[in-house]
Amino acid sequence: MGWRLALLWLVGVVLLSGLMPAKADSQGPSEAQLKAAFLMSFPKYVEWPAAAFAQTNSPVVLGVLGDDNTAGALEEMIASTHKTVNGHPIMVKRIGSDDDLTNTCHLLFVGPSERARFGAIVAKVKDAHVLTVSQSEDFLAQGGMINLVPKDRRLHLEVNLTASSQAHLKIGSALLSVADVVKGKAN
Amino acid sequence: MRLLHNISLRRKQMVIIMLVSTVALLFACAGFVGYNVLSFRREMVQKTSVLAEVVANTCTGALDFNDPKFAEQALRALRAEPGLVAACVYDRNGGVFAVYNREGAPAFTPPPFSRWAKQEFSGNFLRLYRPVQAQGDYLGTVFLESDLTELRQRLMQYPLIVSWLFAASLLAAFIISTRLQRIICNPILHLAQVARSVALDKNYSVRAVKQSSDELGQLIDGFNEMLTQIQERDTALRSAHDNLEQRVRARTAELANSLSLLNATLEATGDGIVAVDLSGRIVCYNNKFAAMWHVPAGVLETGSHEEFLAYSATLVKNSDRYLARIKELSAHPEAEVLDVLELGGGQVFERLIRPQRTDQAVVGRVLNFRDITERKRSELRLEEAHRELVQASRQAGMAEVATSVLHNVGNVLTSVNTSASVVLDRLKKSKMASISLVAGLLREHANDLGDFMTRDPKGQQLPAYLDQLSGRLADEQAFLTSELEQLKKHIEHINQIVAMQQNYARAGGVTETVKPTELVEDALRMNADALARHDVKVVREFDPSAPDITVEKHKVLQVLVNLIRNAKYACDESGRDEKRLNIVVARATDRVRITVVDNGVGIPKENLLKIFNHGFTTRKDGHGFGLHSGALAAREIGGALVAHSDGPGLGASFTLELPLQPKKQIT
Repeated sequence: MGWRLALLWLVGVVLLSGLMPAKADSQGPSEAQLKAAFLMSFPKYVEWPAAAFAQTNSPVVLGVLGDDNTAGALEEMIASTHKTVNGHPIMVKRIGSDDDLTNTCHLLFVGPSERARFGAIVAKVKDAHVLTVSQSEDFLAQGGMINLVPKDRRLHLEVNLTASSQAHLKIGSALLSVADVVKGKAN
Repeated sequence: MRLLHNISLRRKQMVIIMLVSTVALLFACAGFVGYNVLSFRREMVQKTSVLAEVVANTCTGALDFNDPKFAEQALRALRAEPGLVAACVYDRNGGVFAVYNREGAPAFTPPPFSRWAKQEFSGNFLRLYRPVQAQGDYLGTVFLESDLTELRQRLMQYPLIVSWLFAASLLAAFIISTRLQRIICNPILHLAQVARSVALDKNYSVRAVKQSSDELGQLIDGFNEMLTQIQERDTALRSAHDNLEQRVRARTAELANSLSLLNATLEATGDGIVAVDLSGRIVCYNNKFAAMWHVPAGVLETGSHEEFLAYSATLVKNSDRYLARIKELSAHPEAEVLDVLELGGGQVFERLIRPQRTDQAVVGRVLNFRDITERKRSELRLEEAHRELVQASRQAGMAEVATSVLHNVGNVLTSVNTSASVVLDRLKKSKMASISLVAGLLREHANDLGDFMTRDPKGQQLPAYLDQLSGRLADEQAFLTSELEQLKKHIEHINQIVAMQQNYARAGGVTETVKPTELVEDALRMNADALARHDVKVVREFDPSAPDITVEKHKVLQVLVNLIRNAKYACDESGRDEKRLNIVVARATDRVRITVVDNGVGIPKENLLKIFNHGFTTRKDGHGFGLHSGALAAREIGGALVAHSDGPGLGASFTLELPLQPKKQIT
């Protein structure tokens, strides 16, 4: 009988969250938390070249540029889970200026607020084996690798394989299986 | 199992083989079916879990990036598996993420969530959970449900397969065993047949034929060997038996012989003999026994010693002691008893009881009764005769003493006689008459005595004559006085001798304390004349420390006089020039030893013991009880008389040992 109650509860939750979006933050995961969870999952499906890590246990650094909410959610999540990927601990780095971009992170989330500078930012990390992620329609066109697309109350993925393979990053099939592969500009 | 015992070996073997085959087949079939079922299940689990892994791998991205549509799409791929009826994917919180339900299958509702891998067979289904993980992260769980109808169908076929297998195997086992069992059965049956024929005919010369060299072959060899040995033993036994029978016959004859000998001996003896076993049963007796006790036939028929005792106790004088003795004896069956029974009728029986032993163990008693009434009477008579004899010998001894006293008195009387004759002679020739002559002369001249004396020549000669006469008379007086002195001495001697005789002839039983040397001297004195007459030299070797002894004097003296006289005779008879008699008085620890040694004729060895016998003598005029009474007297006073001689011609010695105190007389 448990599953019926659960189903009922699930339906209830979905309905309530639809009716009262303002309260979604407190009831379910916030958008920032959803994004942070996605960002935390990406390293599992992406293979960096060996040169990207100084040592086998060097941290995977998740850089966040221009989205403090997401960075905060990430920091909270890391603090509570102490997650590792392939032996690498996960670290968050808030990037204040563009100068910090070079050789400092493995994954760079660019907040939608930086839409205007997408091209420049992507260009800056072009040779640094950085998986670039953002949430913007034109990010992939600007040379970004993964775009998070909110749709049907969840985030969909778009992947620019050209850009990722140019950066010598291999994106796993499990990720690709749930993502839309779009052609985008190489960075 | 009991059933098996009574059927033939052949069948038994068959039954065993078939039973064993059946059991083995049962196990094999059970194993086969069991293994098949198990391996089918394992296979199912493996196959299903592979599918689950595939689904899980496919769904990682979908779960991680929250794409249930993709997951459902992935689940739909399971259509290719006909056995798989339902599946679902749970997210990490246990919520149903995606569901798959085969078309045509019953409606599926996801079962409770499981975080861990597990599988369960329930009813017709296999339910299997597999966690979905990416890089060590738990993302959710895949659940698959498989239908087991295929297994069921396969299981349905097994009974048929198994029964076919059974039938075929048992048939094969039957055929093979029928052929093969001959190898084992035939030799055994053969052996059994031979054994039966041996048992029936007692013919140990048959042999079983060996057909193989396995254990059965060994068994047949062993059996044959056994038969050989039995045959040998049978022969040996037969001969031993014959031998034994012969020996038994011989032994029986021997026994009969010794039994008859025993019976004859029993009857031949003058004693009454009865044997009693430990339980008090009379085992055997002789007729003399029955006769001397006048045992009534009834008592003997009972065979009970108790009965006999009761009967005999009425005859015995002191029946209480008699019965007590027997009772005491039953506590000590090994004791030997020799006693004397006095019967009321004046009969005296000597009873000897000895244990009867078999291999050292006492099994009974033999009682030997000897009628000693006559002997007792003779003993009494003998004792009396002895007493008389002793009396006689003592009187004889006194006679000897008296003889020697008279002899001595006679000797002295001769001297008295001589002295008296001399005095008489002298008195006859006395000069007393001359005095009366002188007196007459003087009376004649009484008136003119002065003239006569002065003028008559005769008168003138008279004083000179008187002077001469007085001298002669003085001489005569001196002679007579001395002769009378001698006579007086002789008479005193006689007095002494008589007194001595009186002294020794007193009645016996009175003891006196005397010096042994004095006794010896007295004895020598009594023989002094005889010794002097025969020129026997007497040597005295007296130990001055010899103590006084308290004895009946006359007895000792009698013995000593006898010994000295014997020694004198021995010396006299030897005809030697130098006849010697040594008398030794020495002290021993508590006695005095007086030894009379002579160098006379000696005593031959064979006579040494006989000399003390009554009536034995070597002298023509001997009575033969001198030494006999001497030895008796010595014993009476608690001493001993011992003779020694180195042989004829070498002299002899007689030692009289005397106690310092008389022995206590038991009266």
